[in-house]
Amino acid sequence: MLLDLPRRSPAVARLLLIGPGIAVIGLFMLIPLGLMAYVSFLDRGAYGGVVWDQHTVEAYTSFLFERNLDDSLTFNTDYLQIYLRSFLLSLSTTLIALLVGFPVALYMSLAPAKWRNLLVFLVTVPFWTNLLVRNYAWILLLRTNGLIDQWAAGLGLIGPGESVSILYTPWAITIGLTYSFMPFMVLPIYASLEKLDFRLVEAAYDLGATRLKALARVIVPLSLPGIAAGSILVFIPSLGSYVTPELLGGSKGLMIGNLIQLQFAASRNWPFGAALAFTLLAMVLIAMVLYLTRFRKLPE
Amino acid sequence: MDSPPQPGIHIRDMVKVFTDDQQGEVRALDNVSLHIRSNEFFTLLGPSGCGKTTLLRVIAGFEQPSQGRVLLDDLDVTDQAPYRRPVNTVFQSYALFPHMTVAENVRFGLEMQKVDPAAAERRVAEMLELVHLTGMERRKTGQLSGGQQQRVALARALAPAPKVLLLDEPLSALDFKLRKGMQIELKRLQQETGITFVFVTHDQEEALTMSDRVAVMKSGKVLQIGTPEEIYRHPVERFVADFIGETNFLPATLSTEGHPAVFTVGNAGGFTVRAEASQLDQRQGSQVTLAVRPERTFLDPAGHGEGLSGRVETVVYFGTDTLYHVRVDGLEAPLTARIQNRDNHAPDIDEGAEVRITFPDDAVQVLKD
Repeated sequence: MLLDLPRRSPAVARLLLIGPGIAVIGLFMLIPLGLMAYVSFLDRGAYGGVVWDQHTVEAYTSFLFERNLDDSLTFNTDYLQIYLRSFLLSLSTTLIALLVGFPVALYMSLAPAKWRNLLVFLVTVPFWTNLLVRNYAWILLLRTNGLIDQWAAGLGLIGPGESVSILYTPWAITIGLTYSFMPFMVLPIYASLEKLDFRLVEAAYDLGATRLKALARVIVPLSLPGIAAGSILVFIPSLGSYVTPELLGGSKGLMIGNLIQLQFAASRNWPFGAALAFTLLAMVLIAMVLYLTRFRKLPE
Repeated sequence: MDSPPQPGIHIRDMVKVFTDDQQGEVRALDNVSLHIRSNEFFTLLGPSGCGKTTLLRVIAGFEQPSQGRVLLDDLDVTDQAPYRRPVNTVFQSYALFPHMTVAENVRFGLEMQKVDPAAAERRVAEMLELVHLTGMERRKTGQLSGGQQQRVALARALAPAPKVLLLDEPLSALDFKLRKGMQIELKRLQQETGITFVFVTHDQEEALTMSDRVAVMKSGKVLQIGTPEEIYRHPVERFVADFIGETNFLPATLSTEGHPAVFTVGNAGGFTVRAEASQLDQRQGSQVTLAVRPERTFLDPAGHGEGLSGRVETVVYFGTDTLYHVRVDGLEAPLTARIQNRDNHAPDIDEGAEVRITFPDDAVQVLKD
């Protein structure tokens, strides 16, 4: 019987189990991705879109070079700078999220077992609100005469009518991104801390380690897999973020996501937008490979 | 109070109360006072839940007592953090750092003391030699057998040269043969290093073979402290007698007061023993329990002379000894006699035989129940 086949053949059973997943990934990710890769090697259409039979690497060339009127190329760092800024902003977001998120995860893992599920649940609460709404909330907080200005004035940190002027700076982007992706940092670290045998911490105390030493020598090294996972989960979405820099970054706060969006919308340069996206993908892949080769050697 | 300062560990009026969701308040330690001398192998012995591990954790500093003080060489360390106490622990689970090698584990305590690296290196080598693990320096702890992990845990705890080494049932995870070997090893280590060992176990044989002195604990209280021989030969309470080794318990009546007093054993009259019972409130006719070890319980195959009459129920051959379980009228449990086999032959007593049971006066311990 045909229906008996999965039971008799493990290979068929395996295929049936992973088949739907592969189909979804293939249909909705690989095919559009392949299409975009193809687009990045095409010539742009005059009014948006692409010319399907004109193959060129112009899009990739224009990432690094500006084409002069006489067809000569001049090295152009405009786009590299945007990429660099995006990397730096994502890196600082990741670092701040780690510095804030690690103590939170440690606190959660030390809480009585009955409270832990509730705490995990609370960490995910910000996800219930739309990302857009949350970013608008930060505008209300950070804008001139916003809540933070009022508090700062109330505390006498700034004079009346002055502003701490955070909105529309890289700081605002970092704050917004850190806030948005914090749960992605907290949860993996919590997962590895929860598995940690706290008798090891007792052993460290017993051998003369102060709290700080026990943290540095035992707790942090043993939660490195969680720290690595959390850092990847914060760094990569930060790098491709769009909404937060769009709303909080102002005109000077262009990040990669906004640049790509610009190409597809205002500039009507699809091949260049696609090329920017694939340049980013390549950079992320290289970073991931470096990261994984560093952390794979760690104990589970 | 005004006692001259004595080195070692003093536990004074220690109370530890845990609040438990299900059981409410649990007194893990109930007014414990004891003195552990310097350089002795001291064992806390008792069934699980008797408070022995809690007491160990209080000495280590992992638990704050609800009341009472811990003195270490007459320095009050009750409020000292664990990392400030010159006390190291060998954990039941070993608690070796999985991300470090054997040598890194052993070096950890030395690094915390900021020992100069070259000296630390020498000390690590010395410790690994002491526990016979030379050559294993660069192994990860996960690659070691249980017995080897045990040795690393010992080396790690001994490396910073603590005044006191606390051992929390360190042998319970090892198989029988390894355990026997480690018992001898631990005793050797204690004698070689001269460090005070405080050893926690529920295994009475372990306690007897290794310790200089033993404290028997039950329900948060110390019932008796003494050398293994004192504890074995002169248990003061039924629980101690029962927990340590095998014991026959016999009801008896005090027939003549004095030192020693005379007791009439069992219901069958006529059989009397003399025993010291100074710890008892002596009154003629009062009921007591006598404890007699099986190896000091003698069987007489012929029915003559005084003694308790009984019938042999089972005979168990043990190689060196033979165990006889003898049913005695009026006693709930059969009595056990352990008789040494001479010339590899069991004494000639069969199941079902009628025997007389006697024991010498000095084999009898009067219990305060």
